[in-house]
Amino acid sequence: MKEFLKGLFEKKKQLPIPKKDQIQQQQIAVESSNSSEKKKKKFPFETPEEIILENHEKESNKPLNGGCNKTEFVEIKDDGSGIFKPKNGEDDCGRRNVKAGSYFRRERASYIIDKFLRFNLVPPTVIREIDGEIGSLQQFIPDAQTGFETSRSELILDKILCQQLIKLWIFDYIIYNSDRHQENFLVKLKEKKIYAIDHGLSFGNDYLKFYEEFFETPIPLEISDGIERFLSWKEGKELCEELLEELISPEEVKACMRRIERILKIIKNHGKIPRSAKNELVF
Amino acid sequence: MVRYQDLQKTNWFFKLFILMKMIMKFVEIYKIQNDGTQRVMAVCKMVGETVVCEGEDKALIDNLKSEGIWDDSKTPPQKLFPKDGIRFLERLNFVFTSGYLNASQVKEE
Repeated sequence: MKEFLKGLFEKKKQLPIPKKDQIQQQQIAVESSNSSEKKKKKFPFETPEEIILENHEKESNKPLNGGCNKTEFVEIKDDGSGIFKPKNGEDDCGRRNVKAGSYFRRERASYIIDKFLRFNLVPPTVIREIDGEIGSLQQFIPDAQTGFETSRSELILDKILCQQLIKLWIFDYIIYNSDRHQENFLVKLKEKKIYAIDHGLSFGNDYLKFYEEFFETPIPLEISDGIERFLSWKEGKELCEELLEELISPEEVKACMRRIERILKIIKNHGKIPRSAKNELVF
Repeated sequence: MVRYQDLQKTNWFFKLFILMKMIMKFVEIYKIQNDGTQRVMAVCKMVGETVVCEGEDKALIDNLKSEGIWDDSKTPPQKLFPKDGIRFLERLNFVFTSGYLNASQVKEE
């Protein structure tokens, strides 16, 4: 099972659409893992990067200057680094609805959704304790630029990057991320890869800012396939819900699942998100 | 530039007003390096009633000017641009907070 799941979520590879029997095998595998670990649900797609982030010893940590929330650069012994956001360093930053103290859980919840939908946008993100403080630790992406350091038109004109931006747009709706702006995604131009970061203000009911530019744009098949596969995989969906409920409220989980269904329905009907659907997508 | 000799000739209220104007308010935007250190990527400062951003990364400076930043404390959120002055400057710290690009609080010198 591990090999199969690992293969499905390997980076930089176009993921094959599993056949029915493969999905069944996957479902059986998840069922058996569920029965053996009834108490605490195990995330089935755990990557080596996650294991490192979660378990390897911290080499050093440097508090970072600036920002309304506390952030630290953490070096992991023998293997990579991450951005640590401790719970105690969370500030509401002028927001009303998503409360400080829950951001680190929302970071992890967004990563879980990303994995289950096979969007591959969010760097591995775990929850762990560092120096007695609990928080989210996300793999650091070296040599990356933020969206603010790149020209928006350059990204839109590049077919591969544009498709990832469309995916990010859909992802933000699914997780109801009220905080997407140019500083909250990373770009590696040479690798033509976009990474979504900063999801502390997701799953709430803060005002959702939609980028206007992707309404009426055909939605790449890869996106609807990922969503459809997830929705048709009953046990996987249940497991995802259970994992999310450990992090956010059951209402927020239900709302997220409804949004996944709603967005797929719209894409299936229109092949795009019509501008006229905007009002039905927001609370 | 205001000279101290000029200040001496004016009344105390006007002196205070000019001194306040002479205090420069600014925000530094830091970029993280691969080793976790940070370097100043851009500086945004009040010049009169508006904000001027300067730095080596042209795209960042251009985006700050043309795209602006979101003020999420308002419902619905509003865009702020350098022309909005101190409100823009104060909000940078809330926007640049990912760790990759962080903005300081408003500093004075």
